[in-house]
Amino acid sequence: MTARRGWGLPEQHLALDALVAFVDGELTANARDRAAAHLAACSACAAEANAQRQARAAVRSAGAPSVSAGLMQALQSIPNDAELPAQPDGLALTGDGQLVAVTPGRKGERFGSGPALGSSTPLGGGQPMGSSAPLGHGAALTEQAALREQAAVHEQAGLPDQADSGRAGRGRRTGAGVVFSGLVLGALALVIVPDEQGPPPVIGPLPHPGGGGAYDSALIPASAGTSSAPPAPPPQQAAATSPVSAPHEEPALSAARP
Amino acid sequence: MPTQSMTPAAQAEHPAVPAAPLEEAAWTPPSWDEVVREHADRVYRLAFRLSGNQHDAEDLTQETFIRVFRSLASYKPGTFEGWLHRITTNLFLDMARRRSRLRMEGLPEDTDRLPSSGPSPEQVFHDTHLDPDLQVALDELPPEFRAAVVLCDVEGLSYEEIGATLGVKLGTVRSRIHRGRQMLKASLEARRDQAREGTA
Repeated sequence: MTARRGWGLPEQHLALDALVAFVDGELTANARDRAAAHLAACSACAAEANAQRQARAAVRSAGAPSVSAGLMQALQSIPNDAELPAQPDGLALTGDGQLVAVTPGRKGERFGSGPALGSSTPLGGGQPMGSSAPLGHGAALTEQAALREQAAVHEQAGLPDQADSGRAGRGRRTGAGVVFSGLVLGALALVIVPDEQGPPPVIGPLPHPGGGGAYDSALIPASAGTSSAPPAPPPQQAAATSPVSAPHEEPALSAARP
Repeated sequence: MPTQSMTPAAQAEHPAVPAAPLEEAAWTPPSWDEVVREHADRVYRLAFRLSGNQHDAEDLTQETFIRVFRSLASYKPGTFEGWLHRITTNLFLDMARRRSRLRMEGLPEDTDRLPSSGPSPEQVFHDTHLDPDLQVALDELPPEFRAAVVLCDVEGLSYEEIGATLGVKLGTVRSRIHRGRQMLKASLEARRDQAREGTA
């Protein structure tokens, strides 16, 4: 009786909120004990609890539909949809906030064989080096490799100051510029949009890679974009900011090749 | 003995084995393919239970993944499921509200859900081989109640997670689940009674 009064309820029934929480095991130990004591003595509340369990069981027991082959294909080809104002395929954040390219051509290798990655490091063979420190920096190593590759690409493309920005990529994140990468006219080129051209450093719509290897060495300092850009810009907003990349593409490219 | 001769070799390789998980513990960015393969079924199941038909479920699933792709850069390891739940559920609620607005504009106030607005139970079963009675009963719940029940009983989320997904307080989560289940059970029983009368 005191247990019932403990709930302070008129008609001395469990509050429906408490009842549903009891059924779902969401009450604290104390409240659960009091509710159980009440349910043992009150048939109305016990019936209500049973009704809740029955409805729950009906939903739980239902079979799960699975994705059709057509839908699966549509989902997998989302990155190839040219209309998307988004990062190109395979871009992702590393632990320390760098946006790196996940090599499209080597996807299977990269993710299918994690252990293979491990064994390719000096650790796999060399006992003397057997500390776990190099392993912990696996992602960082990949990044550095990407940086070096990027620098090499910059030099090839005849962009004098790019190699510097590549190596000191993090130093330039302070707002010096936003680096867009893209495949232009079949050649890999990196385009720098100067600060005054792009008020919001959005990692915005990029020309999409036509070829598989386009992003092999692309690296974007994500900290500039992700810290200030809204995580999921609505379509209109994205469209509004889209001129940042597309219209500047041509001038910037011509400027890069004097 | 082959087993004996293999043992030293296995031991020699052994030091490398525990090292591999260590490196995998350092998060590697998932490929898009991997994201889709790992999460498509879950998103689709949620979308189907919410929307009640294959067409809308496929649309919702696709829209969800498009949003995911757009904001992949803001993804932090460990939040993917919650993120997907939130996007899918909110897209569904947007869709439901849009449609109910349309219906309100076109029709006089109508407290009954229009049973003709969705596919027939036969169509549902043909599409998915799911219990049509259950899906119809779910469809009859107001969208907010349906979302709470589905997140709880299909997805197995805690009240707290449901509150975060729907952006409502715990008390609201509790009452929506409670009321939703009550309505669901009443609807299932009504359909069962109807079927009994029909065969009698």
